[in-house]
Amino acid sequence: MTKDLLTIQKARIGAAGTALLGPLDFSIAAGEALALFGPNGAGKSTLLRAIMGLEALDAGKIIFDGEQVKGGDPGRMARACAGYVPEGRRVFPGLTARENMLAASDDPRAMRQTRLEEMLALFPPLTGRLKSEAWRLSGGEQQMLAIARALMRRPKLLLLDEPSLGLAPNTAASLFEALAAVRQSGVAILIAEQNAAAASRLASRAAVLVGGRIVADGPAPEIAEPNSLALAYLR
Amino acid sequence: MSGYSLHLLALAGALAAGAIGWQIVFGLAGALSLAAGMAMGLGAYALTVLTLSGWPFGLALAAAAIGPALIFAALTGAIRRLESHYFALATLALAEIAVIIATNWESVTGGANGLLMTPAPAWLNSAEARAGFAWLAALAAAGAFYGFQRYFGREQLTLLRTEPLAARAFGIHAGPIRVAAMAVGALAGGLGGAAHAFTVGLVSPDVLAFKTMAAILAVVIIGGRRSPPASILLAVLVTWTPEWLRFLEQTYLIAYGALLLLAIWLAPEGLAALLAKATKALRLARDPDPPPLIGLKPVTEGGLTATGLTRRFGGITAVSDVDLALKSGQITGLIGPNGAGKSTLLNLVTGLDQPSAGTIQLTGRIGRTFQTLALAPALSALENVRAVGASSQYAWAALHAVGLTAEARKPASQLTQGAQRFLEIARALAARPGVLLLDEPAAGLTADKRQQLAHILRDAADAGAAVLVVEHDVPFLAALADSIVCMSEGRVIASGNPDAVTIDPAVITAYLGAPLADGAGS
Amino acid sequence: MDALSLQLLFNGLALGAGYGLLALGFALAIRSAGAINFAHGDVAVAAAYVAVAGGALDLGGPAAAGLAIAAGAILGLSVAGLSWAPLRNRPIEATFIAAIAIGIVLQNALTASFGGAPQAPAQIASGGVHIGAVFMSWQALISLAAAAIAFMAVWAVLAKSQTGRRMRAAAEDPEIAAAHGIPVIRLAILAFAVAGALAGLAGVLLAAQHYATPGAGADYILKAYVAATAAGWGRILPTAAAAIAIALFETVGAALVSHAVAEALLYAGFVALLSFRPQGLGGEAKGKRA
Repeated sequence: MTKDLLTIQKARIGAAGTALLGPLDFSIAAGEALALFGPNGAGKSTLLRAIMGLEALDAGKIIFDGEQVKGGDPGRMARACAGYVPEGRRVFPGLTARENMLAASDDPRAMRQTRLEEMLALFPPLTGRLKSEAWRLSGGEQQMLAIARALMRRPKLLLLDEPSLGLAPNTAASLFEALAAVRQSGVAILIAEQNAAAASRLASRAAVLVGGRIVADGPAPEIAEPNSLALAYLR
Repeated sequence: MSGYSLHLLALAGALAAGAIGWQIVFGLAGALSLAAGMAMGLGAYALTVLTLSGWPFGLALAAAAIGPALIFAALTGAIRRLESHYFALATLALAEIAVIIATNWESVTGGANGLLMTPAPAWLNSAEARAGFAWLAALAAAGAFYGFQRYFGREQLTLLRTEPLAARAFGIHAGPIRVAAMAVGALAGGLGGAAHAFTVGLVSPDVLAFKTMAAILAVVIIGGRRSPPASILLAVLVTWTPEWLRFLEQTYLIAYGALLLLAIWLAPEGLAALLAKATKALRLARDPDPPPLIGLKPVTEGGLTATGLTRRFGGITAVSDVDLALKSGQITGLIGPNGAGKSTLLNLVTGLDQPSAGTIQLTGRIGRTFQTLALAPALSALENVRAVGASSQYAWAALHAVGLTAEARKPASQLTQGAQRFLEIARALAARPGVLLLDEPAAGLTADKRQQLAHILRDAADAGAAVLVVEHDVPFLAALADSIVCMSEGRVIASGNPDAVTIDPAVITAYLGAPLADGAGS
Repeated sequence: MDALSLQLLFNGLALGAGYGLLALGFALAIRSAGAINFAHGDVAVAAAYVAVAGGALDLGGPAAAGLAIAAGAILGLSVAGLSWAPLRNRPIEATFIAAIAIGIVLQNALTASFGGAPQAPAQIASGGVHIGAVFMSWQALISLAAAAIAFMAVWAVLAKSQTGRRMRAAAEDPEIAAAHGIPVIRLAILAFAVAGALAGLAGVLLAAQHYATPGAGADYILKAYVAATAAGWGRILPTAAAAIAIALFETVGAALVSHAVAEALLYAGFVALLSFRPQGLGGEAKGKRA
């Protein structure tokens, strides 16, 4: 049995009974990809932030790679090999694309450079934009940059919050192609997405978060089937 | 009382006047000005220079108060929109200019040595009279403080300090309030400076120098930035300690700096706030009972018609050719995935943003809520509602409409998330708007609270308002709204009867990223 | 240009070196910790007085200057620990008031220990050379060299090194930087220490040429602020240019009219500039502030 990479146990944020998030229980195995669906305000972003250590839990635990995650220490999660691609991308605006990626790495210089080139192979459009300041990049380019940045530390788990938001359909499509390659390289993925169709092609498993609780969890094609999803959303 | 003690008393009064004047600027208007010493200095110089030039004492005294006020009003007018660090630096620069002028314009100001005052008129020539005048100045400053607070509204000023963007949306503008505060503060400071000048008998650049500002800073922060009584007490202490601690000489000034640092760490609201917490129960008991309930009919019947609304930001079109019609008595729902342009549309319709194209016709008043709550956490529920200008009567009516009368006196920070959302709605309702716009009011609410919300909105519409609700909870809207509009990528892709819109294939595609399979549908 | 103008130009440049170092430390704190340090000027003055004390203990000019740099670094760290770190999550006025409080303590401690009369630490080197009609003192040349080296070094580190990149990232978005393993707090502390050291160097150089009083910190912070903001909110090389412009304005103005008038005009110009551009002087949209 695969030892789970990430385990969430009875996690809760907010007062019992009127919680923003939880109680939640689920886990992700190494190399597994899980898509997270749900209407806005359901708590998807909060959950990802909690896993990354950016929000503290009011109850329950999050265990990543054998160690418990306490709130308020995102650096620890980063060093423990989780990568985070926040909603809205949040690239470092004044740094160039190249600097954005290099800054996120802890490696010695030669390894940094190699890893940078690996990221460029994954996201070829960034090659021509390396020297541009990140605020000048288009939405799609910024999204690629944010993912490349999160991948610099070779994370075991990649957390993505609405990466296709605001992107044109073909840009989103190439993004998901790149993510498929990431997944194939063995990185576990937890992706919160509104674009259920694309996300369910990437992930084998899907869960639906409504009102801070998981109301469905199963194979992605089943969950993402428009009727059942619509019912889950439109309860 | 000995002559010397009276002398100290007069100096304390002068300092208190200056400190209270600064409390109007920082405590009430929230502007970090570093020019309080300059205000006092201007008053001191005005009095001395004018009496030496032959002006009658009374007139010179009036000029010592009004002159600084006018000067500060003009200067603040130029810098009123600067954000806090630029504002502070600009006032520091102005204060330094004042010191330079005072030190170098010898023909007028006497240069670094200053000027000796002509003897004050007979009626002011005793130690008692001088102390009395100084304390009159301090009391006048206190009066100005409370008057200012009353005029602009305590809750309004609190909202301005804690949530400036929300305050702007409700018509409370920082610029004019800052100008007024600096002017009134300078008036009080000028009087204090004048009192200082004829108590000491001379004026020199020292009064204008930063150390006066430092003393005022220490007095106000340690005492409590919105408590004139605390400033008075601290001013007396600050003036007397050199006497008690004469053996420590300079070190007591160091102690003030250290105390100031301690205060800002541990008790940033000052001693007065600590005392207030202790006497809270007493104050609550003094509050008046709620007035009799009245209805919340809109001031005028509302309606909104928008045609062809478009908003471009550089290369991106956030809203494209949107038509929207809101009628009195009707609830319209606005749905759409993230990034569809709903918030931009709301900003256009409420006037917080200008459309690139299109027209808006609005009848009646607008009230709105925000996606992220913009309540003043330290104010009670009732005070938050009153902060937008509603009278007590309508504030209570609004609280009643949302079911929060029991929590009226609780600080907003102590309310549950759901109660806070309802409070925000109460705030919008209290202005009795003809058009009511709500941005995701149901977010984070439990099922029964959503029921309550639906009732509140239905009641508001029945009372005559035109209601627009932006929401992600589609079934909530489907049950409540008379019509639904769906946006995607800046455009309206469906609008009309809720039942029809929720099964519209275009809507489902927009949300789910894929069309329904053939033959499917609910 | 005649001899007098050339001399003024040189003097202005030498003064610009001191102002430049002051502004550099200030800008560094902004670019790497996102912090606006109101106590920066007072730290410079205090460090200068440490050099004065060193001189009283018979330390030579260079040793005293070294002491000042070290004192500046320590004071910079203290400011970080006393005003920036504990108040990071409070409304921004709290940090400012705390820094002003530290300034009050420093100013009065200096007055109590040294009195209020202007003082100057020993020069690092005395004498000078004549190049053409211009007299260039060694002290001034050392100041220029020190400033040039410091600017190039800080610029190079911020722009080209990994530490510099991470500092900039941390200043722009501390939360996301932390989420990528960047040690935000440690880098900020480093930035404050270096900024303090630069302030110390600036203080001792400025005081050696132009004397300092305990209250000079206010002037220093104003000039650092004007240079940093006129240059586009902490961009390193433009800050140097702005500092030189301020120094030249002051030097020429002092020669033409008087030092006091030149300074007053400088400040008035600053306020006028701000009143026409209330949104700041450019570059701030991308940056962050604490």
